[in-house]
Amino acid sequence: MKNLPENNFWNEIKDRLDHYAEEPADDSWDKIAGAINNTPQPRIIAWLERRASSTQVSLAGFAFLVALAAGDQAATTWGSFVADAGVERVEENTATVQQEHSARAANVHDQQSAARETSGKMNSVGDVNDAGRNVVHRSDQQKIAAHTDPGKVALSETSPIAPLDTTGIVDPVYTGKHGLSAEMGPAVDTVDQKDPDKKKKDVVVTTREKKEAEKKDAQLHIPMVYFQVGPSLAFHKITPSTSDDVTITDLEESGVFATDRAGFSVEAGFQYPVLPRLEVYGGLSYYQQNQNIRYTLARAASGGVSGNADDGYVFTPATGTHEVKYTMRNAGVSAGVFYRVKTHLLEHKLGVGVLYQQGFQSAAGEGSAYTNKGSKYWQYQLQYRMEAGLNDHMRLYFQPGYTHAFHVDEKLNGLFTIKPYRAGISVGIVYLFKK
Amino acid sequence: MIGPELFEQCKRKDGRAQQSLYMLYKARLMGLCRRYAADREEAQDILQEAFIKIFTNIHQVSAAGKLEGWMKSVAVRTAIDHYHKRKRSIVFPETDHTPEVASADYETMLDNLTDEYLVSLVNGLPEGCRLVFNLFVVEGYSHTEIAGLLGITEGTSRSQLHHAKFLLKQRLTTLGVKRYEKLA
Repeated sequence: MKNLPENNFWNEIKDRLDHYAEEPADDSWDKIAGAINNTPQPRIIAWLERRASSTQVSLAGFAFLVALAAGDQAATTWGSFVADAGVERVEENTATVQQEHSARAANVHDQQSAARETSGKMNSVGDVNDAGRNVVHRSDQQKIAAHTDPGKVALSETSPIAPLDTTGIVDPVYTGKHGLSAEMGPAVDTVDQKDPDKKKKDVVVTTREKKEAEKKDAQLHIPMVYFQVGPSLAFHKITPSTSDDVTITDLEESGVFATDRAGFSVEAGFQYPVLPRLEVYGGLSYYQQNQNIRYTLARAASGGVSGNADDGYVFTPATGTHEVKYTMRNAGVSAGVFYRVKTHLLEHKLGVGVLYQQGFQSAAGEGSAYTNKGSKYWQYQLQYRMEAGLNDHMRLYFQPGYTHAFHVDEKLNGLFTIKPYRAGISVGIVYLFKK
Repeated sequence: MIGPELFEQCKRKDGRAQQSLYMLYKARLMGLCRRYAADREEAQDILQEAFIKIFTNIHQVSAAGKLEGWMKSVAVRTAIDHYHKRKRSIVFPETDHTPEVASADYETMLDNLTDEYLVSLVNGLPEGCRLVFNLFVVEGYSHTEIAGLLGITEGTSRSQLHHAKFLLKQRLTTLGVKRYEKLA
């Protein structure tokens, strides 16, 4: 090198590069400040983000479901576990009637308050009625003071609503939510202790309650069978083997909605309600999917060597592209539980279960790395079911779900192991064995 | 040099102190990131990631005097992580027949080059060469350390450095010839 020794030349470059400075974009600090002011993400979120492409469908679905469940504050609850059109109508009427009671009671309460303010002492609020309606009897001033909550105002039989006689079919959950159940009985008792008709009515109410309880109990233990079918999108967690001399340098990823991720499943089995909101299920399951997994590998055992003694030698491993035909025909059994979270137009249920499947498809071809036959998969299932009654015996449902393999015993003569998982939506029918 | 007060405030995650530290070092670290990145946009991403790591992990630094060196090493490692994270395979070009470039008046050439142009020459190197060149020549890492950082052998690191130097000289020569032609 003319006029400049080699080292000095590189040192000058080093100095100039080392001291090189450049202004970043103006909004850089805003982005950094925004990031550092946020709380650190939990590991699970970071993990989900890294696998966003494969989990976004299921996450979006479950976020929607959770939102639905969380918003279930005002929904009325059907008295029976299994939908019964007749009972539904009665209970809807009941709810409507009670809402009317509640509204009217609130109205009366407002009038009571106004009356208290104007009259001071008052032994009865019966005279604050509106043209003879909404008559409320109170035994004394203390009763009025105790009932400051509009939802806890008691009504006597003199109310025009009373002849409807809905006492015996009051939905305990609904009334519990609105603070009516506990107050209504004692209030009625307090008002008309001396009324002989009241005793008769109490007997009628008790009989109806018993019948209703028996009916509910009968409906609770109705066995059901289900059948469902649906498409799904499959994804895989691929773990390269570390015990060989091969490095997988590239893996061809299909798009999230690629056609070769598509598969379908069929399931059929029994369901049985064990508690008003809980039912167990168990059945047979079939799953089918074809996918080609393409990857590039580098083999340490073969390759070329270049370089020289002064600068060192470079070993370039031989590379090649390979493909695994991942053709699955799996059959197995599943079992789990469904929990009814909400009943509003549809019955909304959250389900969790375990699915065991075994492959029975022969090898995709001679020399194929993957043999489905004999491969075993233990998977868990998360499901959300929206169910609607078609008639007394049939119910139709839509069921988004997520299935994830947690233990895989696969006949994969490959350089890696695979854990499949999939998101899908099924359509199914439930048949109720009702008398 | 950062004062101990600013350093302690940054450790306490004081927003104003963090912004002051950023203002002090943004240009230096952006310059570093520019050398590792293929373009300005990528350098911008690396810089932001590096500062986030700096502010998150500043408590690991024991004294204010060590902060500057630590910040630079964080930026360098972030630049390397950037490639690993994106699962981009670092391309190490064939280096079997790297010839020696004939001597030329590099001193004159370097004097005529701006720093920006010099950085653009480094940016123009193949990815693997660029990483090894920056780590060895500018940052002063050994081939053993570079091999560990990039997941390559020491031999690969040496040959990539050799190739990077050859390419830079070649481009400088070409540049010199062009300039001489223009001057003639």
